[in-house]
Amino acid sequence: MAEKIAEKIVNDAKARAEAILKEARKKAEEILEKAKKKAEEDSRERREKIKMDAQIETARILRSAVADAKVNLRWSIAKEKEKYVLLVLEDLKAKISKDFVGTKEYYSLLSEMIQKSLQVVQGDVFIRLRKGDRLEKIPLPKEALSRIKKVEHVDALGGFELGSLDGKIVLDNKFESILEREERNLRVLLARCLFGS
Amino acid sequence: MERILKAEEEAERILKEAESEAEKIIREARSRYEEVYEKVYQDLIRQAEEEAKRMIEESKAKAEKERKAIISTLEEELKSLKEKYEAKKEEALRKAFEYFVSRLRG
Repeated sequence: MAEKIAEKIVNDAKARAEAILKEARKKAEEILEKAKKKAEEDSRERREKIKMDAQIETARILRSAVADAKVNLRWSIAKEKEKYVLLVLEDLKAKISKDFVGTKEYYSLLSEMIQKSLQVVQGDVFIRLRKGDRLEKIPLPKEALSRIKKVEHVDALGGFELGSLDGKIVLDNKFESILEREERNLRVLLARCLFGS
Repeated sequence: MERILKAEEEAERILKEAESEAEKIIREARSRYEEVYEKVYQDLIRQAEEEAKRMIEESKAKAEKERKAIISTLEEELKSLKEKYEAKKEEALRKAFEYFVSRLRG
């Protein structure tokens, strides 16, 4: 009987000891869990800042790279269009020189232009023609011819300069000058014709 | 009776040992609090930094992909411009010439 009581006393003590240890382990786990949770809480703001900075940087990288590429794209296309427009403008000068200057139509037009210029400039005038052009080739009426007192020659694609003898008024109708004045319109016309824009 | 007294002594010893061990377990946990806190804190920050780095690398790769796509578009566009120029240059020259002559006529 005493043996059984003794055995029960020891077994109860063992069970209680186990319970004490179990409780201690649980408490230890709670302490460490609390450390983890506090670390999570304390780091949250910093982690969110890291994430937000990365999102901003990501957006900046994409925006910048794509925007730069698009700007380059537009610039390259515009430059290429410009190149082709200029090529046609060069062809135009060549065509004027080769197919137009020196023709009957050319001299007929010169006549019209000179007569219009004579309406602007009063009195006697001088004229500077393209080297290779002669006044005699231009079908001008006598009244017009009588007002031209001086004929000179200049390097020009075609056309002429006409002015008062005192040089106060000079009309520049050299083809280069006309082309220069009309370049903006010509570029628009060529761009529309070539590229529809 | 003697056997019971011994059992009681044994029980007391067992309980004391258990209490001592329990105190030790809790003391150790308390002493490890800072270490665990610091490790978890640094691990979380490192993970966040790695994630940020990954996001940025991905965006760089995406940007490069888009840049290449735009370059490809550009190459096609330049090719198309050349084709248009070749097809229309004679017509453009004729129109420019007509315009020029019309300006001469005023």
